[in-house]
Amino acid sequence: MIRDLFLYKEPNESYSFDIKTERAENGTLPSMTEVSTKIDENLAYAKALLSYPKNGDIVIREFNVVVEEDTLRGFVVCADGLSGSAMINDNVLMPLMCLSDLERNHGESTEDYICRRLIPHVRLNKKTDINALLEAVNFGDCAVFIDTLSVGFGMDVKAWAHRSIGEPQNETVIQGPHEGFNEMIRNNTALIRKTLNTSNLVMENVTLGKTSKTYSAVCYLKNVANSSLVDEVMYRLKNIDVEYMLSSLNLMQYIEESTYLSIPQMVATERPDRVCNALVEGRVAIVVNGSPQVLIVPTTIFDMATSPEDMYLRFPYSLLVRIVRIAAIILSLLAPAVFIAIMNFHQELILTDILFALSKARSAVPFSSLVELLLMELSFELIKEAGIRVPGPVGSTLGIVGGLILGQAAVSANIVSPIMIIVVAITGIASFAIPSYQLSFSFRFMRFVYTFAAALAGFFGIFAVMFVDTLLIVNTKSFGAPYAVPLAPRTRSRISNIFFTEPIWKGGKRPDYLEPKDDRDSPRISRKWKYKKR
Amino acid sequence: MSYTNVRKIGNKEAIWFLVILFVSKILFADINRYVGQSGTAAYIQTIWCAFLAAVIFIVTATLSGEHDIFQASYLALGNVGMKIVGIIISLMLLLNAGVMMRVYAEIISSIALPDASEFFILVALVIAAAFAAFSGIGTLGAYSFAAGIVLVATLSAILILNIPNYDLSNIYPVLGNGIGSILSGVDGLSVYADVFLVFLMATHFSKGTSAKKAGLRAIIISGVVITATTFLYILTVPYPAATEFSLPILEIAFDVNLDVIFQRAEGLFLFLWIFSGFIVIGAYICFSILSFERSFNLSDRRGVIGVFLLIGLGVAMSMESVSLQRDLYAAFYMAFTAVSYGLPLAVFGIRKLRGR
Repeated sequence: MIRDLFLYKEPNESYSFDIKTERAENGTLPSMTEVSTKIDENLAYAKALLSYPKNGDIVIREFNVVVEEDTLRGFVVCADGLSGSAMINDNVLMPLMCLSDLERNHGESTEDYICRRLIPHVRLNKKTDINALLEAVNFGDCAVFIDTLSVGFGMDVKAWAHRSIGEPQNETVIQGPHEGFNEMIRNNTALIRKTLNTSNLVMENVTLGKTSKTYSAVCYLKNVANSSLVDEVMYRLKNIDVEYMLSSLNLMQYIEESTYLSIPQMVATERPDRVCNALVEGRVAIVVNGSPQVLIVPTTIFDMATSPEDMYLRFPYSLLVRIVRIAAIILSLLAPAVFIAIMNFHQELILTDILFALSKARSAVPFSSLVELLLMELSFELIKEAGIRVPGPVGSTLGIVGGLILGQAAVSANIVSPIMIIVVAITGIASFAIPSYQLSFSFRFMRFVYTFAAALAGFFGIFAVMFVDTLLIVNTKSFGAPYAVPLAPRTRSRISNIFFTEPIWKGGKRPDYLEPKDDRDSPRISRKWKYKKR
Repeated sequence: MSYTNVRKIGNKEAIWFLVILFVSKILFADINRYVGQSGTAAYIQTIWCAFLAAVIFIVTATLSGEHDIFQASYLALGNVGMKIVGIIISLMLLLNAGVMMRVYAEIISSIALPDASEFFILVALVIAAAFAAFSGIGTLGAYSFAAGIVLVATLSAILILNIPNYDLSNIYPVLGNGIGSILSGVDGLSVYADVFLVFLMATHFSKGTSAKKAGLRAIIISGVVITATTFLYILTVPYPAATEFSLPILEIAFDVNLDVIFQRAEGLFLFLWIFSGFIVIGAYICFSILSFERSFNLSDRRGVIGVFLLIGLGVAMSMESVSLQRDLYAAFYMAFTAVSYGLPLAVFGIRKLRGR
């Protein structure tokens, strides 16, 4: 070190890395579309396509098959972790390697012999498209190629680990089924099929994303759903040009009409019972692999405001809950805006005693009511956002710190008035009473718009935003169905049903705006026991 | 189920759309005009006017057959005639929109936002009208069904909350200023002048919707609402004091003693005033553009929306003083009424004569 002070030393060159510009090249991969009769060509292509052995999870196992006097070379390709080794061993390798010296029927081709007699696997596909066979390996299938054959065999041997069927995370109910969808498409379609239990249920497969080839299923009841609606859903799904489709919530943005509207235009649910109910009404469901949320189309804004639990409650309770929910929606959207409008512009509207009480409560606060409200709303949003991310045991502590200590301290320090805490708390509680998570998100956003409008022009501002907001909602469509139907435009469906409920046996009419093939899901008199002579 | 953006108007939507346009008039001074002419018998005059409006409408609708006013004017007066009729209607509605904008802004400014500039309110009205114009008549019609029910319910709420202030002795003398004054009060027809709009929207009607039915039912429903409101206004404010208030419904709202959180019901009136203002101005702009679009066969109406809105705003801002604005409003209102009833009658009448 002392030497360094007196003698010059060449400085060390610091290491730096920059990403170089590069474009995709189609150079090295041999072009092949069909399965070749030469096994070496197939093997080379499979290795090149799946980057074997660079790809550590790809397994290629070569073997010999003895067919009468001939010994044919073959190989099986699968992805470790996605496919079940036991299934491949028992249903593919063992029969091909150990039983292949069975006597062949007269005139039976090698292809038929292997397919019909050697491989006992239930989901076996015979394909000539080599790319389809090898791409399916990425989704848990295995591909088998045998020398001299111009076809390959694809087998569904999926066995990857996944979340089990549990309770829905965002749509919990006290009464009613507690099953929820998970990330596996086949689990989800099975949950729907076992609930509806009808051969009229159709689940059309669609793949989404050029690279991800995400498996999806379009579900509908063929004797109920309007064919043009099903065609429209299929048309939109098949005409999405995108590399990756990772979730149904991504898909939602690709197929909805008005992306810039804050309100979602389709229901994303985790509940099989809700999907089944929608299918019975004549709607269409879209299940996407990797997403526990199933999309229901078309949807109206009133569908968003209903909870799956409404179906299971007795009529009077359900009615009460609906009224509470309507109040919650109004409060969550307008309470802060109305407060600001009254405090800043329309003091004469409220009772003098209340006005004095409000003024007294706010007298020590140095901020305007808008700043005060924004401070509180921001704190509340912070607590909510942090609450989602903190680990479970810390969550309650965050609630206490955020809600009680900060709130109490803010009032004591005269930063906010107690009345503002009440307004923000009521708004927050009301927003949690909205059954749709996405709708409550939309209301969270619109609440700020209404608040700023109120701060700018009082009730005039609120009503101006309300006019434009509701006009946009009326102007929107969800897969051909107006978003505010049956209220605007008015259709034959009963308006009372959208705000209130009626005894379940009084229902039975499907929503007319869905133009279902069959108007009713049950006869006018469903309680036949009451009228039948014994 | 339709996957296009063209939205049709059903019977109920057309009815409620017209009801909003008719009933919004009584938020202005129209009740005062009835009371000024017929005294305590103003509500009888409203029935008489509704009856007359219905008769004129039935005659016009019968003459119209299945045609809208543009088709009829083309058949009766040729291409040039159709364009002239279109321009007259378009201009009339546009000027009306401008005048209405100013009136609405003036009242909002005086009762709700005394410190705000009127220009700011006018701009807000223009923005709302722009949204209505871009959405189109189909959406506005659909919107009106829901809004119409809410607005009539709000008006009813004000009238119901005012029950303690009703004094039955106010209706005497029952015939007010006499039968002559009731029968001669035909200028009250102006309330229903907008009914001619049904002859403009025939191409927007969905299957099974009839202009005749929609217009007639709208007149009947509005007639009931307007008569009831006028009657209850007379019960609240004795004649001749009733003639003094420029905004009768606001006066009723002032008289309401809520005493639960809110003192009075002006908030409800404000809701009525602002919402009906947005719909009425939006409708006039929409129909003005529609008329222009139909007359000149425009392929896309969106191109002219901005220009129409600017002209409307220009008209609204051109009135310098409140007195000029009131005089112009009164004069324009009468001219609008005459053209609204006269033009369709003349066009359909000529078409009928030529058809023979």
